[in-house]
Amino acid sequence: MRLGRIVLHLFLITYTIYALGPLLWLAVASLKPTFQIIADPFALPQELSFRNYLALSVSRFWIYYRNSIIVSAGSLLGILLFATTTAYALARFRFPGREWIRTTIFAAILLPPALVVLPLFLQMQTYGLVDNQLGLMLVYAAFAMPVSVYILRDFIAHIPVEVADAARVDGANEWQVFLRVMLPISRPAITSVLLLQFVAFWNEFVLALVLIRSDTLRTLPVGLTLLNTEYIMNYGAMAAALVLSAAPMLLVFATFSERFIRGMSAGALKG
Amino acid sequence: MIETAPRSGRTDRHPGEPLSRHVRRERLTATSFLIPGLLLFGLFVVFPLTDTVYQSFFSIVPAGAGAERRFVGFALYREALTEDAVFWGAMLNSTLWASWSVLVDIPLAFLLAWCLRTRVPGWRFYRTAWFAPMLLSPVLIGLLWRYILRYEGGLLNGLLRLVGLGALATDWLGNPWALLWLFLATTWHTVGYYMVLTLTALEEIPQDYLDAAVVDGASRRQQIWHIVLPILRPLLATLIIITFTAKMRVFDLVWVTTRGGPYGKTETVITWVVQRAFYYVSGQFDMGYPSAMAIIWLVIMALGILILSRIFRTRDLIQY
Repeated sequence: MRLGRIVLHLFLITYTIYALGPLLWLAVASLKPTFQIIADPFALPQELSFRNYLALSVSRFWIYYRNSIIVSAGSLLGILLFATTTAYALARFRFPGREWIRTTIFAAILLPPALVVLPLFLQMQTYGLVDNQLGLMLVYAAFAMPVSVYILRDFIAHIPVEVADAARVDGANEWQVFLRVMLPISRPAITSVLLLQFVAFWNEFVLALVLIRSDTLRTLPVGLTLLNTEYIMNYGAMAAALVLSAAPMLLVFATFSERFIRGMSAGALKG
Repeated sequence: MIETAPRSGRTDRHPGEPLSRHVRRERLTATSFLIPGLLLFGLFVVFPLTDTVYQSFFSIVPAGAGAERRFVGFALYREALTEDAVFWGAMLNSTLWASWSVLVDIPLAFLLAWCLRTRVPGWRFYRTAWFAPMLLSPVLIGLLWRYILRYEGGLLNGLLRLVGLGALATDWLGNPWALLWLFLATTWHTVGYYMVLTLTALEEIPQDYLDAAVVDGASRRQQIWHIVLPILRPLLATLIIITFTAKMRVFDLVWVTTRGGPYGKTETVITWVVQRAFYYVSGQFDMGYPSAMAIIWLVIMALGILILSRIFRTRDLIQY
Protein backbone atom coordinates (compact mmCIF):
# COMPACT_ATOMS: atom_id res chain seq x y z
CA MET A 1 0.00 0.00 0.00
CA ARG A 2 2.76 2.39 0.99
CA LEU A 3 4.69 1.44 -2.14
CA GLY A 4 1.57 1.91 -4.22
CA ARG A 5 1.25 5.47 -2.99
CA ILE A 6 4.83 6.24 -3.91
CA VAL A 7 4.43 4.79 -7.38
CA LEU A 8 1.21 6.76 -7.82
CA HIS A 9 2.85 10.03 -6.88
CA LEU A 10 5.88 9.34 -9.01
CA PHE A 11 3.56 8.72 -11.93
CA LEU A 12 1.57 11.91 -11.31
CA ILE A 13 4.72 13.99 -11.08
CA THR A 14 6.26 12.39 -14.17
CA TYR A 15 3.18 13.08 -16.22
CA THR A 16 3.05 16.66 -14.94
CA ILE A 17 6.64 17.18 -16.07
CA TYR A 18 5.67 15.81 -19.47
CA ALA A 19 2.60 18.09 -19.67
CA LEU A 20 4.20 21.28 -18.40
CA GLY A 21 7.85 20.67 -19.27
CA PRO A 22 7.76 21.91 -22.86
CA LEU A 23 5.84 25.01 -21.80
CA LEU A 24 8.20 25.82 -18.96
CA TRP A 25 11.14 25.26 -21.26
CA LEU A 26 9.60 27.67 -23.76
CA ALA A 27 9.04 30.30 -21.07
CA VAL A 28 12.62 29.96 -19.83
CA ALA A 29 14.02 30.01 -23.36
CA SER A 30 12.19 33.26 -24.08
CA LEU A 31 14.33 34.88 -21.39
CA LYS A 32 17.64 33.64 -22.76
CA PRO A 33 19.76 34.91 -25.63
CA THR A 34 19.64 32.62 -28.66
CA PHE A 35 23.25 31.46 -28.46
CA GLN A 36 22.58 30.22 -24.95
CA ILE A 37 19.41 28.40 -25.99
CA ILE A 38 21.42 26.50 -28.56
CA ALA A 39 24.57 25.97 -26.50
CA ASP A 40 22.87 24.93 -23.32
CA PRO A 41 19.15 24.30 -23.81
CA PHE A 42 18.48 23.30 -20.21
CA ALA A 43 20.33 26.05 -18.37
CA LEU A 44 18.45 28.76 -16.55
CA PRO A 45 19.00 32.26 -17.91
CA GLN A 46 22.13 33.88 -16.53
CA GLU A 47 20.35 37.17 -16.10
CA LEU A 48 16.73 38.11 -16.33
CA SER A 49 16.46 39.77 -19.72
CA PHE A 50 13.39 40.75 -21.69
CA ARG A 51 15.45 41.62 -24.73
CA ASN A 52 13.67 38.95 -26.79
CA TYR A 53 10.30 40.48 -25.99
CA LEU A 54 11.50 43.96 -26.85
CA ALA A 55 12.93 42.65 -30.13
CA LEU A 56 9.39 41.78 -31.25
CA SER A 57 8.39 45.43 -31.49
CA VAL A 58 10.33 45.83 -34.72
CA SER A 59 8.49 42.94 -36.36
CA ARG A 60 4.84 42.63 -37.37
CA PHE A 61 4.13 40.62 -34.23
CA TRP A 62 1.99 43.24 -32.54
CA ILE A 63 0.06 43.88 -35.75
CA TYR A 64 -0.83 40.17 -35.86
CA TYR A 65 -1.70 40.39 -32.20
CA ARG A 66 -4.04 43.32 -32.70
CA ASN A 67 -5.65 41.57 -35.68
CA SER A 68 -6.24 38.44 -33.60
CA ILE A 69 -7.92 40.49 -30.90
CA ILE A 70 -10.16 42.25 -33.45
CA VAL A 71 -11.12 39.07 -35.28
CA SER A 72 -11.74 37.07 -32.10
CA ALA A 73 -13.86 39.84 -30.59
CA GLY A 74 -15.86 40.32 -33.77
CA SER A 75 -16.48 36.61 -34.17
CA LEU A 76 -17.60 36.30 -30.55
CA LEU A 77 -20.06 39.11 -31.17
CA GLY A 78 -21.24 37.14 -34.19
CA ILE A 79 -21.84 34.08 -31.99
CA LEU A 80 -23.77 36.24 -29.57
CA LEU A 81 -26.01 37.55 -32.38
CA PHE A 82 -26.46 34.46 -34.51
CA ALA A 83 -26.13 31.40 -32.28
CA THR A 84 -28.33 32.60 -29.40
CA THR A 85 -31.24 33.52 -31.68
CA THR A 86 -31.00 30.27 -33.63
CA ALA A 87 -30.73 28.22 -30.44
CA TYR A 88 -33.75 30.01 -28.99
CA ALA A 89 -35.86 29.38 -32.06
CA LEU A 90 -34.89 25.69 -32.11
CA ALA A 91 -35.56 25.29 -28.40
CA ARG A 92 -38.80 27.19 -28.05
CA PHE A 93 -40.84 27.26 -31.21
CA ARG A 94 -42.56 24.70 -33.34
CA PHE A 95 -42.40 25.23 -37.05
CA PRO A 96 -42.20 23.04 -40.10
CA GLY A 97 -38.69 21.79 -40.83
CA ARG A 98 -37.42 22.31 -37.32
CA GLU A 99 -35.99 18.80 -36.91
CA TRP A 100 -34.46 19.03 -40.34
CA ILE A 101 -32.73 22.33 -39.61
CA ARG A 102 -31.55 21.04 -36.26
CA THR A 103 -30.08 17.88 -37.72
CA THR A 104 -28.32 19.79 -40.49
CA ILE A 105 -26.73 22.24 -38.08
CA PHE A 106 -25.62 19.54 -35.65
CA ALA A 107 -24.30 17.29 -38.41
CA ALA A 108 -22.04 20.15 -39.49
CA ILE A 109 -20.09 19.65 -36.26
CA LEU A 110 -18.35 16.96 -38.28
CA LEU A 111 -17.39 19.17 -41.17
CA PRO A 112 -13.71 20.20 -41.15
CA PRO A 113 -13.59 23.74 -42.61
CA ALA A 114 -10.39 22.84 -44.45
CA LEU A 115 -12.28 20.38 -46.66
CA VAL A 116 -14.49 23.07 -48.16
CA VAL A 117 -11.97 25.86 -48.05
CA LEU A 118 -11.47 26.21 -51.80
CA PRO A 119 -15.16 26.64 -52.74
CA LEU A 120 -15.46 28.91 -49.72
CA PHE A 121 -12.51 30.95 -50.91
CA LEU A 122 -13.95 31.38 -54.41
CA GLN A 123 -17.35 32.24 -53.02
CA MET A 124 -15.86 34.82 -50.67
CA GLN A 125 -14.12 36.27 -53.70
CA THR A 126 -17.44 36.89 -55.41
CA TYR A 127 -18.71 38.63 -52.25
CA GLY A 128 -15.53 40.71 -52.14
CA LEU A 129 -14.82 39.31 -48.68
CA VAL A 130 -11.42 37.78 -49.32
CA ASP A 131 -8.62 39.56 -47.50
CA ASN A 132 -11.21 41.16 -45.29
CA GLN A 133 -11.39 40.74 -41.54
CA LEU A 134 -15.17 41.13 -41.49
CA GLY A 135 -15.36 38.23 -43.92
CA LEU A 136 -13.16 36.12 -41.67
CA MET A 137 -15.33 36.96 -38.66
CA LEU A 138 -18.50 35.90 -40.50
CA VAL A 139 -16.91 32.62 -41.56
CA TYR A 140 -15.67 31.97 -38.02
CA ALA A 141 -19.10 32.67 -36.57
CA ALA A 142 -20.72 30.43 -39.18
CA PHE A 143 -18.42 27.46 -38.50
CA ALA A 144 -18.83 27.98 -34.76
CA MET A 145 -22.62 27.75 -35.06
CA PRO A 146 -23.04 23.97 -34.71
CA VAL A 147 -21.30 23.52 -31.34
CA SER A 148 -22.58 26.82 -29.97
CA VAL A 149 -26.19 26.21 -30.98
CA TYR A 150 -25.93 22.69 -29.61
CA ILE A 151 -24.89 23.86 -26.15
CA LEU A 152 -27.21 26.89 -26.04
CA ARG A 153 -30.27 25.06 -27.35
CA ASP A 154 -29.80 22.38 -24.74
CA PHE A 155 -29.57 24.95 -21.96
CA ILE A 156 -32.55 27.01 -23.13
CA ALA A 157 -34.69 23.92 -23.55
CA HIS A 158 -34.18 23.21 -19.84
CA ILE A 159 -35.42 26.63 -18.70
CA PRO A 160 -38.96 26.28 -17.33
CA VAL A 161 -41.58 27.73 -19.68
CA GLU A 162 -43.20 29.59 -16.77
CA VAL A 163 -40.21 31.93 -16.49
CA ALA A 164 -40.92 33.42 -19.88
CA ASP A 165 -44.68 33.31 -19.42
CA ALA A 166 -44.46 35.76 -16.54
CA ALA A 167 -42.91 38.30 -18.87
CA ARG A 168 -45.50 37.59 -21.56
CA VAL A 169 -48.32 38.30 -19.12
CA ASP A 170 -46.72 41.70 -18.64
CA GLY A 171 -47.20 42.29 -22.35
CA ALA A 172 -43.67 41.66 -23.60
CA ASN A 173 -43.36 40.37 -27.15
CA GLU A 174 -41.16 37.41 -28.04
CA TRP A 175 -38.08 39.51 -28.81
CA GLN A 176 -38.42 41.35 -25.53
CA VAL A 177 -38.78 38.04 -23.71
CA PHE A 178 -35.66 36.82 -25.46
CA LEU A 179 -33.58 39.90 -24.73
CA ARG A 180 -34.74 40.64 -21.20
CA VAL A 181 -35.44 37.18 -19.80
CA MET A 182 -33.81 34.44 -21.84
CA LEU A 183 -30.40 35.97 -22.47
CA PRO A 184 -29.79 36.91 -18.82
CA ILE A 185 -30.90 33.47 -17.61
CA SER A 186 -28.72 31.74 -20.19
CA ARG A 187 -25.62 33.59 -19.09
CA PRO A 188 -23.78 30.50 -17.76
CA ALA A 189 -24.22 28.68 -21.06
CA ILE A 190 -23.36 31.78 -23.06
CA THR A 191 -20.18 32.28 -21.03
CA SER A 192 -19.18 28.66 -21.63
CA VAL A 193 -19.77 29.01 -25.35
CA LEU A 194 -17.85 32.28 -25.58
CA LEU A 195 -14.88 30.87 -23.65
CA LEU A 196 -14.85 27.75 -25.78
CA GLN A 197 -15.04 29.70 -29.01
CA PHE A 198 -12.53 32.32 -27.90
CA VAL A 199 -9.94 29.57 -27.71
CA ALA A 200 -11.04 28.24 -31.09
CA PHE A 201 -10.96 31.66 -32.79
CA TRP A 202 -7.68 32.69 -31.25
CA ASN A 203 -6.02 29.49 -32.42
CA GLU A 204 -7.70 29.05 -35.81
CA PHE A 205 -5.27 28.52 -38.66
CA VAL A 206 -6.52 27.18 -41.98
CA LEU A 207 -9.32 29.65 -42.71
CA ALA A 208 -7.11 32.58 -41.73
CA LEU A 209 -4.34 31.19 -43.91
CA VAL A 210 -6.53 31.02 -46.99
CA LEU A 211 -8.94 33.92 -46.60
CA ILE A 212 -6.49 36.62 -45.53
CA ARG A 213 -3.87 37.48 -48.13
CA SER A 214 -2.17 40.67 -47.05
CA ASP A 215 0.36 40.61 -44.27
CA THR A 216 -1.06 43.55 -42.32
CA LEU A 217 -4.42 41.79 -41.90
CA ARG A 218 -3.10 38.40 -40.81
CA THR A 219 -3.92 36.91 -37.42
CA LEU A 220 -1.48 35.38 -34.95
CA PRO A 221 -1.37 31.68 -35.88
CA VAL A 222 -0.52 32.43 -39.51
CA GLY A 223 1.64 35.35 -38.38
CA LEU A 224 3.63 33.06 -36.13
CA THR A 225 4.52 30.77 -39.00
CA LEU A 226 5.70 33.80 -40.99
CA LEU A 227 7.70 35.09 -38.04
CA ASN A 228 9.22 31.67 -37.68
CA THR A 229 10.73 32.02 -41.16
CA GLU A 230 11.81 35.55 -40.42
CA TYR A 231 13.40 34.57 -37.10
CA ILE A 232 15.01 31.44 -38.47
CA MET A 233 18.18 32.19 -36.52
CA ASN A 234 16.56 33.97 -33.59
CA TYR A 235 15.07 31.29 -31.35
CA GLY A 236 14.87 33.68 -28.44
CA ALA A 237 12.55 36.15 -30.13
CA MET A 238 10.45 33.31 -31.52
CA ALA A 239 10.08 31.79 -28.06
CA ALA A 240 8.96 35.18 -26.75
CA ALA A 241 6.40 35.44 -29.56
CA LEU A 242 5.02 31.99 -28.74
CA VAL A 243 4.77 32.79 -25.04
CA LEU A 244 2.92 36.04 -25.73
CA SER A 245 0.59 34.35 -28.21
CA ALA A 246 -0.43 31.79 -25.59
CA ALA A 247 -0.73 34.34 -22.79
CA PRO A 248 -4.39 35.35 -23.34
CA MET A 249 -5.50 31.71 -23.35
CA LEU A 250 -3.58 30.92 -20.19
CA LEU A 251 -4.87 34.09 -18.53
CA VAL A 252 -8.48 33.32 -19.41
CA PHE A 253 -7.94 29.76 -18.22
CA ALA A 254 -6.38 30.90 -14.94
CA THR A 255 -9.31 33.23 -14.33
CA PHE A 256 -12.12 30.88 -15.29
CA SER A 257 -10.49 27.47 -14.91
CA GLU A 258 -13.42 25.83 -13.15
CA ARG A 259 -16.04 27.32 -15.47
CA PHE A 260 -13.77 26.50 -18.38
CA ILE A 261 -13.31 22.84 -17.55
CA ARG A 262 -17.01 22.45 -16.79
CA GLY A 263 -17.92 24.28 -19.98
CA MET A 264 -15.69 22.21 -22.16
CA SER A 265 -17.04 19.01 -20.68
CA ALA A 266 -20.65 20.20 -20.85
CA GLY A 267 -20.65 20.24 -24.63
CA ALA A 268 -19.33 16.72 -24.79
CA LEU A 269 -21.25 15.09 -22.01
CA LYS A 270 -24.80 16.31 -22.31
CA GLY A 271 -26.24 13.16 -23.68
CA MET B 1 -30.05 16.15 -24.80
CA ILE B 2 -33.77 16.62 -24.65
CA GLU B 3 -35.47 15.22 -27.68
CA THR B 4 -38.56 17.36 -27.65
CA ALA B 5 -38.41 21.05 -26.97
CA PRO B 6 -40.95 22.22 -24.40
CA ARG B 7 -44.00 23.83 -25.89
CA SER B 8 -43.69 27.51 -26.18
CA GLY B 9 -46.72 27.94 -23.97
CA ARG B 10 -48.07 30.55 -26.29
CA THR B 11 -50.76 28.47 -27.93
CA ASP B 12 -52.91 28.42 -24.80
CA ARG B 13 -52.39 32.03 -23.89
CA HIS B 14 -55.65 33.29 -25.41
CA PRO B 15 -58.02 30.33 -25.59
CA GLY B 16 -60.61 32.25 -27.58
CA GLU B 17 -58.45 32.92 -30.60
CA PRO B 18 -58.46 30.46 -33.48
CA LEU B 19 -55.54 28.08 -33.30
CA SER B 20 -54.32 28.66 -36.84
CA ARG B 21 -53.60 32.31 -36.14
CA HIS B 22 -51.49 31.32 -33.17
CA VAL B 23 -49.64 28.76 -35.15
CA ARG B 24 -49.07 31.28 -37.89
CA ARG B 25 -47.87 33.91 -35.47
CA GLU B 26 -45.58 31.43 -33.74
CA ARG B 27 -44.07 30.53 -37.10
CA LEU B 28 -43.60 34.16 -37.96
CA THR B 29 -41.78 34.83 -34.68
CA ALA B 30 -39.70 31.69 -35.10
CA THR B 31 -38.70 32.84 -38.56
CA SER B 32 -37.56 36.21 -37.26
CA PHE B 33 -35.27 34.42 -34.82
CA LEU B 34 -34.05 31.94 -37.37
CA ILE B 35 -33.28 34.09 -40.37
CA PRO B 36 -29.99 35.71 -39.29
CA GLY B 37 -28.39 32.47 -38.11
CA LEU B 38 -29.60 30.35 -40.98
CA LEU B 39 -28.53 32.93 -43.53
CA LEU B 40 -25.03 32.97 -42.07
CA PHE B 41 -24.87 29.20 -41.79
CA GLY B 42 -26.26 28.70 -45.27
CA LEU B 43 -23.95 31.15 -46.98
CA PHE B 44 -20.70 30.15 -45.33
CA VAL B 45 -21.14 26.49 -44.42
CA VAL B 46 -23.91 24.80 -46.39
CA PHE B 47 -23.27 26.46 -49.72
CA PRO B 48 -19.51 25.75 -49.83
CA LEU B 49 -20.30 22.14 -48.94
CA THR B 50 -22.91 21.66 -51.65
CA ASP B 51 -20.64 23.47 -54.06
CA THR B 52 -17.88 20.99 -53.18
CA VAL B 53 -20.20 18.12 -54.09
CA TYR B 54 -21.12 19.84 -57.36
CA GLN B 55 -17.55 20.71 -58.31
CA SER B 56 -16.36 17.18 -57.71
CA PHE B 57 -18.07 16.17 -60.96
CA PHE B 58 -16.23 18.69 -63.11
CA SER B 59 -12.69 18.66 -64.31
CA ILE B 60 -10.48 21.03 -66.21
CA VAL B 61 -9.53 19.36 -69.47
CA PRO B 62 -7.36 20.67 -72.30
CA ALA B 63 -9.48 22.05 -75.14
CA GLY B 64 -7.93 23.63 -78.19
CA ALA B 65 -5.45 26.26 -77.13
CA GLY B 66 -6.69 26.61 -73.54
CA ALA B 67 -8.64 24.51 -71.13
CA GLU B 68 -12.28 24.17 -70.16
CA ARG B 69 -14.29 22.73 -67.34
CA ARG B 70 -16.23 19.69 -68.35
CA PHE B 71 -18.65 17.33 -66.61
CA VAL B 72 -16.82 14.08 -65.98
CA GLY B 73 -19.19 12.14 -63.74
CA PHE B 74 -17.40 10.05 -61.15
CA ALA B 75 -14.10 10.06 -63.03
CA LEU B 76 -12.32 12.15 -60.38
CA TYR B 77 -13.52 9.82 -57.64
CA ARG B 78 -12.13 6.92 -59.60
CA GLU B 79 -8.86 8.75 -60.14
CA ALA B 80 -8.51 9.50 -56.42
CA LEU B 81 -9.30 5.95 -55.40
CA THR B 82 -7.36 4.06 -58.04
CA GLU B 83 -4.47 6.22 -59.18
CA ASP B 84 -3.49 8.45 -56.29
CA ALA B 85 -0.96 6.70 -54.06
CA VAL B 86 -0.48 9.83 -51.97
CA PHE B 87 -4.21 9.97 -51.22
CA TRP B 88 -4.15 6.36 -50.03
CA GLY B 89 -1.06 7.05 -47.94
CA ALA B 90 -2.78 10.08 -46.46
CA MET B 91 -5.93 8.10 -45.67
CA LEU B 92 -3.79 5.43 -44.02
CA ASN B 93 -1.92 8.05 -41.97
CA SER B 94 -5.13 9.75 -40.85
CA THR B 95 -6.69 6.43 -39.91
CA LEU B 96 -3.54 5.41 -38.02
CA TRP B 97 -3.70 8.73 -36.21
CA ALA B 98 -7.30 8.13 -35.17
CA SER B 99 -6.47 4.58 -34.07
CA TRP B 100 -3.42 5.70 -32.10
CA SER B 101 -5.59 8.21 -30.34
CA VAL B 102 -8.24 5.65 -29.44
CA LEU B 103 -5.70 3.03 -28.31
CA VAL B 104 -3.24 5.32 -26.51
CA ASP B 105 -4.87 8.62 -25.60
CA ILE B 106 -8.10 7.28 -24.16
CA PRO B 107 -6.53 4.57 -21.94
CA LEU B 108 -3.95 7.11 -20.77
CA ALA B 109 -6.70 9.62 -20.01
CA PHE B 110 -8.56 6.94 -18.07
CA LEU B 111 -5.45 6.03 -16.11
CA LEU B 112 -4.79 9.66 -15.21
CA ALA B 113 -8.41 10.28 -14.24
CA TRP B 114 -8.42 7.11 -12.14
CA CYS B 115 -5.36 8.39 -10.24
CA LEU B 116 -7.09 11.68 -9.46
CA ARG B 117 -10.42 10.08 -8.61
CA THR B 118 -9.48 9.47 -5.00
CA ARG B 119 -8.66 13.16 -4.60
CA VAL B 120 -4.96 12.66 -4.04
CA PRO B 121 -3.32 15.72 -2.50
CA GLY B 122 -2.89 18.37 -5.17
CA TRP B 123 -5.40 16.81 -7.58
CA ARG B 124 -6.73 20.20 -8.56
CA PHE B 125 -3.24 21.33 -9.54
CA TYR B 126 -2.63 18.18 -11.56
CA ARG B 127 -5.94 18.54 -13.35
CA THR B 128 -5.22 22.15 -14.30
CA ALA B 129 -1.63 21.40 -15.33
CA TRP B 130 -2.61 18.48 -17.54
CA PHE B 131 -5.46 20.38 -19.13
CA ALA B 132 -3.36 23.45 -19.96
CA PRO B 133 -1.85 22.19 -23.27
CA MET B 134 -5.41 21.94 -24.63
CA LEU B 135 -5.55 25.74 -24.78
CA LEU B 136 -2.61 26.08 -27.11
CA SER B 137 -2.96 26.32 -30.83
CA PRO B 138 -1.74 23.44 -32.99
CA VAL B 139 0.44 26.05 -34.66
CA LEU B 140 2.20 26.87 -31.41
CA ILE B 141 2.53 23.18 -30.61
CA GLY B 142 3.95 22.49 -34.05
CA LEU B 143 6.53 25.24 -33.77
CA LEU B 144 7.38 24.21 -30.22
CA TRP B 145 7.69 20.57 -31.26
CA ARG B 146 9.99 21.58 -34.05
CA TYR B 147 12.28 23.16 -31.47
CA ILE B 148 12.11 20.07 -29.34
CA LEU B 149 12.79 17.64 -32.18
CA ARG B 150 15.24 19.53 -34.38
CA TYR B 151 18.73 18.17 -34.78
CA GLU B 152 20.76 21.20 -33.78
CA GLY B 153 19.83 22.76 -30.43
CA GLY B 154 16.78 20.52 -30.11
CA LEU B 155 15.51 19.69 -26.66
CA LEU B 156 15.26 15.95 -27.16
CA ASN B 157 18.75 15.61 -28.60
CA GLY B 158 20.04 17.82 -25.79
CA LEU B 159 18.43 15.48 -23.29
CA LEU B 160 19.96 12.45 -24.99
CA ARG B 161 23.40 14.01 -24.96
CA LEU B 162 22.94 14.93 -21.31
CA VAL B 163 22.42 11.29 -20.34
CA GLY B 164 25.22 10.06 -22.59
CA LEU B 165 23.05 8.76 -25.42
CA GLY B 166 24.21 11.43 -27.84
CA ALA B 167 24.77 8.79 -30.50
CA LEU B 168 20.99 8.44 -30.83
CA ALA B 169 20.54 12.11 -31.63
CA THR B 170 18.89 12.59 -34.98
CA ASP B 171 16.61 14.88 -36.95
CA TRP B 172 13.42 13.44 -35.50
CA LEU B 173 11.01 15.04 -37.97
CA GLY B 174 13.20 14.17 -40.93
CA ASN B 175 13.03 10.42 -40.69
CA PRO B 176 10.33 7.88 -41.52
CA TRP B 177 9.19 7.84 -37.89
CA ALA B 178 8.20 11.52 -38.02
CA LEU B 179 4.52 10.58 -37.92
CA LEU B 180 4.96 8.91 -34.54
CA TRP B 181 6.38 12.12 -33.09
CA LEU B 182 3.42 14.06 -34.40
CA PHE B 183 1.11 11.46 -32.79
CA LEU B 184 2.88 12.10 -29.51
CA ALA B 185 2.43 15.83 -29.95
CA THR B 186 -1.34 15.44 -30.31
CA THR B 187 -1.40 13.07 -27.36
CA TRP B 188 0.34 15.72 -25.32
CA HIS B 189 -2.12 18.29 -26.61
CA THR B 190 -5.40 16.52 -25.93
CA VAL B 191 -5.03 13.88 -23.21
CA GLY B 192 -5.69 16.43 -20.47
CA TYR B 193 -9.05 17.24 -22.01
CA TYR B 194 -10.08 13.61 -22.28
CA MET B 195 -8.87 13.11 -18.70
CA VAL B 196 -11.12 15.93 -17.46
CA LEU B 197 -14.13 14.41 -19.24
CA THR B 198 -13.37 10.99 -17.78
CA LEU B 199 -12.83 12.40 -14.30
CA THR B 200 -16.20 14.18 -14.41
CA ALA B 201 -17.88 10.89 -15.25
CA LEU B 202 -15.88 8.92 -12.66
CA GLU B 203 -16.95 11.34 -9.96
CA GLU B 204 -20.57 10.53 -10.71
CA ILE B 205 -20.16 6.83 -9.92
CA PRO B 206 -21.55 6.31 -6.41
CA GLN B 207 -18.85 5.15 -4.03
CA ASP B 208 -21.35 2.59 -2.66
CA TYR B 209 -21.12 0.58 -5.86
CA LEU B 210 -17.38 0.17 -5.46
CA ASP B 211 -17.61 -0.43 -1.73
CA ALA B 212 -20.21 -3.11 -2.26
CA ALA B 213 -17.93 -4.79 -4.75
CA VAL B 214 -15.05 -4.71 -2.26
CA VAL B 215 -17.29 -6.33 0.34
CA ASP B 216 -18.01 -9.05 -2.20
CA GLY B 217 -14.29 -9.59 -2.50
CA ALA B 218 -13.72 -7.97 -5.88
CA SER B 219 -10.17 -7.02 -6.76
CA ARG B 220 -9.27 -3.59 -8.02
CA ARG B 221 -9.10 -4.95 -11.55
CA GLN B 222 -12.49 -6.59 -11.27
CA GLN B 223 -13.93 -3.34 -9.95
CA ILE B 224 -12.70 -1.47 -12.98
CA TRP B 225 -13.63 -4.16 -15.46
CA HIS B 226 -17.08 -5.10 -14.17
CA ILE B 227 -18.35 -1.92 -12.57
CA VAL B 228 -16.53 1.20 -13.73
CA LEU B 229 -16.14 0.47 -17.43
CA PRO B 230 -19.75 -0.57 -18.01
CA ILE B 231 -20.94 2.61 -16.27
CA LEU B 232 -18.51 4.68 -18.31
CA ARG B 233 -19.48 3.11 -21.59
CA PRO B 234 -21.50 6.05 -22.94
CA LEU B 235 -18.66 8.40 -22.03
CA LEU B 236 -16.04 6.18 -23.64
CA ALA B 237 -18.16 5.97 -26.76
CA THR B 238 -18.39 9.76 -26.84
CA LEU B 239 -14.64 10.05 -26.28
CA ILE B 240 -13.88 7.61 -29.06
CA ILE B 241 -16.08 9.55 -31.46
CA ILE B 242 -14.51 12.87 -30.42
CA THR B 243 -10.96 11.59 -30.84
CA PHE B 244 -11.82 9.85 -34.08
CA THR B 245 -13.28 12.99 -35.68
CA ALA B 246 -10.51 15.20 -34.27
CA LYS B 247 -7.72 13.03 -35.66
CA MET B 248 -9.34 12.42 -39.01
CA ARG B 249 -9.21 16.19 -39.58
CA VAL B 250 -5.66 16.99 -38.48
CA PHE B 251 -4.20 19.77 -40.58
CA ASP B 252 -2.51 22.65 -38.73
CA LEU B 253 0.05 20.62 -36.83
CA VAL B 254 1.31 18.81 -39.91
CA TRP B 255 1.24 21.94 -42.03
CA VAL B 256 3.55 23.87 -39.71
CA THR B 257 5.91 20.99 -38.93
CA THR B 258 6.50 18.72 -41.91
CA ARG B 259 4.00 19.76 -44.62
CA GLY B 260 3.43 16.08 -45.17
CA GLY B 261 7.08 15.25 -45.61
CA PRO B 262 9.50 13.58 -45.60
CA TYR B 263 8.30 12.06 -48.87
CA GLY B 264 4.63 12.04 -47.91
CA LYS B 265 5.31 10.05 -44.74
CA THR B 266 3.22 12.43 -42.63
CA GLU B 267 0.66 13.49 -45.23
CA THR B 268 -2.90 13.62 -43.86
CA VAL B 269 -5.98 13.69 -46.02
CA ILE B 270 -6.65 17.34 -45.27
CA THR B 271 -3.08 18.50 -45.94
CA TRP B 272 -3.23 16.68 -49.27
CA VAL B 273 -6.61 18.20 -50.17
CA VAL B 274 -5.39 21.72 -49.33
CA GLN B 275 -2.11 21.07 -51.12
CA ARG B 276 -3.98 20.02 -54.24
CA ALA B 277 -6.50 22.84 -53.94
CA PHE B 278 -4.11 25.75 -53.66
CA TYR B 279 -0.68 24.66 -54.64
CA TYR B 280 -1.34 22.54 -57.65
CA VAL B 281 0.07 24.25 -60.71
CA SER B 282 -2.33 24.10 -63.60
CA GLY B 283 -2.81 27.72 -64.56
CA GLN B 284 -6.06 27.96 -62.65
CA PHE B 285 -7.67 26.54 -59.54
CA ASP B 286 -8.62 22.96 -60.19
CA MET B 287 -11.60 22.62 -57.88
CA GLY B 288 -12.70 19.23 -59.11
CA TYR B 289 -10.06 16.86 -57.87
CA PRO B 290 -9.64 18.19 -54.31
CA SER B 291 -13.43 18.40 -54.05
CA ALA B 292 -13.77 14.73 -54.95
CA MET B 293 -11.20 13.78 -52.32
CA ALA B 294 -12.97 15.98 -49.77
CA ILE B 295 -16.30 14.27 -50.41
CA ILE B 296 -14.74 10.79 -50.25
CA TRP B 297 -13.22 11.69 -46.91
CA LEU B 298 -16.44 13.18 -45.53
CA VAL B 299 -18.30 10.00 -46.47
CA ILE B 300 -15.62 7.88 -44.80
CA MET B 301 -15.74 10.01 -41.66
CA ALA B 302 -19.53 9.84 -41.51
CA LEU B 303 -19.45 6.06 -42.03
CA GLY B 304 -16.79 5.72 -39.36
CA ILE B 305 -18.88 7.62 -36.87
CA LEU B 306 -21.98 5.68 -37.80
CA ILE B 307 -20.15 2.39 -37.29
CA LEU B 308 -18.57 3.51 -34.02
CA SER B 309 -21.86 4.70 -32.60
CA ARG B 310 -23.53 1.46 -33.73
CA ILE B 311 -20.83 -0.54 -31.97
CA PHE B 312 -21.36 1.38 -28.77
CA ARG B 313 -25.08 1.83 -29.41
CA THR B 314 -25.10 5.48 -28.46
CA ARG B 315 -28.34 7.29 -28.92
CA ASP B 316 -26.96 10.50 -30.37
CA LEU B 317 -24.99 10.35 -33.53
CA ILE B 318 -22.90 13.36 -32.73
CA GLN B 319 -21.81 14.56 -29.37
CA TYR B 320 -19.19 17.15 -28.96
